[in-house]
Amino acid sequence: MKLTIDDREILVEGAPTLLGAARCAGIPIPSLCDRPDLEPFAGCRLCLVEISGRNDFAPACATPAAEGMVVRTRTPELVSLRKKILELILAEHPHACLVCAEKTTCDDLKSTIRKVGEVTGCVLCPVNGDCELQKVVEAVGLDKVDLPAIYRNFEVRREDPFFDRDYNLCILCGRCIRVCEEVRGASVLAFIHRGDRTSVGTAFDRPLLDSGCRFCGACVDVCPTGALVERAVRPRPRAERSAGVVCPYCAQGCGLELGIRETRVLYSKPSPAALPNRGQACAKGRFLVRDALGGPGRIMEPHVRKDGRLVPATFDEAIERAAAGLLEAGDQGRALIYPSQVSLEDAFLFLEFGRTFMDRAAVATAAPGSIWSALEALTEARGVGVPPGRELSEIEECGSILAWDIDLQVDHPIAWLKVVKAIRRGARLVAAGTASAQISQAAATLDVRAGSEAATGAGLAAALLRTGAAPSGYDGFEDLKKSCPDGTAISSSEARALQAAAEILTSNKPAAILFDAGAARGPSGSDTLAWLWNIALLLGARLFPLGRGGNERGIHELERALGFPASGKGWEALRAGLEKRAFQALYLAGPAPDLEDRKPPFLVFQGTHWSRNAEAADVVLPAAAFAEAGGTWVNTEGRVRTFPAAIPCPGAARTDGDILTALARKMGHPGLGRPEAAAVLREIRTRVPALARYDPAGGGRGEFLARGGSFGTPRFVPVQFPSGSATPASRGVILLKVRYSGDGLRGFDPLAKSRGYAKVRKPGQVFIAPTDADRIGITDGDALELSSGPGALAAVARLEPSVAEGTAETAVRASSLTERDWLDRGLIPVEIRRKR
Amino acid sequence: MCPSKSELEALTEKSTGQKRALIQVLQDIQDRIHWLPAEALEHVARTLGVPLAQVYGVATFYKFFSLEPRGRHVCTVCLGTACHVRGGQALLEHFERKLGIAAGRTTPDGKFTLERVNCLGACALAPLAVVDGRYYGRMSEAKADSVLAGVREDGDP
Ligand code: SF4
Ligand code: SF4
Ligand code: SF4
Ligand code: FES
Ligand code: FES
Repeated sequence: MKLTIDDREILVEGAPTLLGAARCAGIPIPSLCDRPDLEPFAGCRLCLVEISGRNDFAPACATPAAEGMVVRTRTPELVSLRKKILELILAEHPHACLVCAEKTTCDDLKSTIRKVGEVTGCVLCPVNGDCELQKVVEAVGLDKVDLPAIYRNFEVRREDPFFDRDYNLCILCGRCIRVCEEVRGASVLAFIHRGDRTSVGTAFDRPLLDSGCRFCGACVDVCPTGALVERAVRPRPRAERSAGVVCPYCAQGCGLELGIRETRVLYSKPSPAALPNRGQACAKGRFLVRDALGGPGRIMEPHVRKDGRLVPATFDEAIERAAAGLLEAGDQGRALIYPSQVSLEDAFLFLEFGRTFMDRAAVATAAPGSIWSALEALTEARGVGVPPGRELSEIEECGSILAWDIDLQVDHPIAWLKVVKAIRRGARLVAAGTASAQISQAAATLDVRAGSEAATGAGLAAALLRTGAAPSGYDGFEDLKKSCPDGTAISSSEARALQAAAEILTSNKPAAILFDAGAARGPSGSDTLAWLWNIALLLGARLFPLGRGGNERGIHELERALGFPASGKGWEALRAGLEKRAFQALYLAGPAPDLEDRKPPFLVFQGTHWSRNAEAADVVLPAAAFAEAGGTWVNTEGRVRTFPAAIPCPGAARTDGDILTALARKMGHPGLGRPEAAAVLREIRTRVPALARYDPAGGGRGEFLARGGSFGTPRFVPVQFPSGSATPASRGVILLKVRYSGDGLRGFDPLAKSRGYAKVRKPGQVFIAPTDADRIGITDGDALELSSGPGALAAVARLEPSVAEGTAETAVRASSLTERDWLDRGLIPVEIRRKR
Repeated sequence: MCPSKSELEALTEKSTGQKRALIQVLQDIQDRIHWLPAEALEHVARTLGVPLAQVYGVATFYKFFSLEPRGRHVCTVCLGTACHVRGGQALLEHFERKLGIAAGRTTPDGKFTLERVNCLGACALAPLAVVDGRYYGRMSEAKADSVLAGVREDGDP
């Protein structure tokens, strides 16, 4: 459409607001409350414009552009009105510096920073120089405030992790409230109180920690003032440059921007244009990258054990000791645990090293089984084709979403944002499981009782058949119909819930199904996956398998192409070897549970941070972290991206590639390894079909793993209809569902290293139905012991009504062998007792 | 005094899932028990599907709502300009002495709450007091005593 702004004729596409149209045309209109990614609010009134034919002023941010409109943005009347409005805003905001004539020379003139607890002007404000309010004052040209200054004297809130809230600096633009609700789906904040005591706050003004905040930092990033600021980032010194990286923490692989000064990372922020995250991240990507790179506990130099003690050594000395110990153990006596959250290049070299020096069954990561290997197993065992992943943004266009036994907000925050967006566009969510954020936004809920997962899946498939779902063109439909009885052996309330869910999913197409490795949990995990697959075919739904660790999917492709067992499977074999004490030497380069007394006689540790295992090693090699190594990463969508090293390695640390090359040379294989990362990537492309066409130079946004034609035509999977639910546990025994909360980075576990993050995630809790708690005689907050056979874990009791009677849920970090073993079993009958 | 769970359910049930009924539902609870305890706000948030922060925001925005327990009888004395010049202040002090509490507080037995407002829009009747929703114009100390005595005798609803 065509319209005229300030005598300029401009052409716009789509349905922008006047502010958006002006922005496109490069016509500046001051604004404070608007954000293109948020719904219009029209709160600050700075963007008022004059529209011919209307006799009042209109906020440009909330007025849709229309064909033929004639708009003025800078009439004398508007200019003076804008100044008045800004004065009103500034009356309640410390503004001495904003309108000070000396502001440009202030830094040179003032002799010292005053040490006061309050921010009384820009010179004391943490965002000085990086503040939207400052820019707007500049743009509007305000040089005095004729109203009495009011300091509202709100107490600065410093009780929460990661960021402070000083509402004395708040201009009530509402951006934080809107981003938290509209984008994050958390709705933690609102305007509270009235009149001159109006501020932003939580329910009952409680700390964010007690208000459901996930500490994603989105509110901090949209705040135009210094009201919300990351605590650890001091105003000076400032970052000198920034570098783009892929977040290594989880499989969504957010594009992050690191603020760097010299060789230090000062902060990490989500990049606005990066996919799939589009300017969003989570607590780990936003607040915990800096700590993962520097901070206490980083291994800075090589160590070797001398006279029983670990002492610093030179690189050559350490390599020599490591080579000697590994060689001495012999071909059959060596094992390698490689890291699962490294670049493809480094992972490739580890696998090459393993292939050269070890038995393949003695090479594995300690990462739990991934959804990719579970899907592959399904494909192999039942002869169906499971398609590769899709872009997460495709969730946004879906009419209904089935979230299957998954905690999106916590474990897959970016996928959750897409779900939130879909819901705001009218999509209906079916929340299967106990995740509270999903339940609160759901149109329907389903119980996925521990031990009855496959039964619930089967029940849903049967309900879909009853609603008349009859897709044509896929084999196996008749068999499926025959295997699903009309009435199922479930209770009537369950049947009603299944029917309601089925109706929502069939009548709001397309449907999306979101699940992760948790769906494959327990003995009937592969049946559960098969049912999800059949449900997807019945609905013509899009399947979104969601991976866990950073680069999990890329490394899965490597393992497959190079003939190594997939994660989980490999660990099983290696774990058995450890148990049998089959190894003389272990090259431990990845995170692993504390090996305790299963440690082989000779241990080489390679990593970024000290741990119990590192301290027990005979040789310690300091490795580069992700931002120091750079490389190629694949996210859960199959998006492939390569980024260069952002900072040099600290101390005497070296990249894994360097260390492996040196070690291989010492062990008599000078041909292995290679210093050039680009050469390694070329080699990977010749050996891994899914990456054959990947071109690292082809635009920074990332290309996708080849969606090969090897998946065949989809067909319904034959699977036994379960006969009722799993047998109810005998009295006193509870079926425990074990989830994975190991959201650490190679060697850096934020749950152990960040007090703030531990407060957010609250590890070590077990969720129990209140009725069971009553019966066992425990109350919320009790210290418990969960025991099953020889193993036992400690946990704190949480009573949770959405947990089914006779079952319980917990999440483990797999930092001990018991935790790891329990995680592999997935569903465990336990006895729960109060700890004495 | 806190409402029981079934009482809360009765007050909110018909608005299940209706976000727009928020103010009405809060008003019903306020009418019923004269204040909005935290459990009530939490229950309303859950039932109506409104985020708790927003419920709290609304509850703290309108002066009509109280987040602190209020007495079963509410006395309000006007201190707007007209009432002020006609002795509103003295009248308020009289109420304070009679009830033994300062303006804005509730008697320990939970019987009376005393409040002050700025103008009730009936300035011709100044000085004005409101007791349990009834307006008393040209209020005097003697009249106040008899109104309070009446309320005391009536016992509790
Ligand atoms: S950090 Fe995220 S969840 Fe917490 S208040 Fe801010 S936007 Fe909401
Ligand atoms: S805290 Fe920041 S974003 Fe939130 S309303 Fe205040 S100024 Fe706006
Ligand atoms: S951990 Fe995952 S969701 Fe969080 S910032 Fe990193 S990639 Fe994004
Ligand atoms: S930007 Fe339009 S009113 Fe604030
Ligand atoms: S001043 Fe009391 S009613 Fe107006």
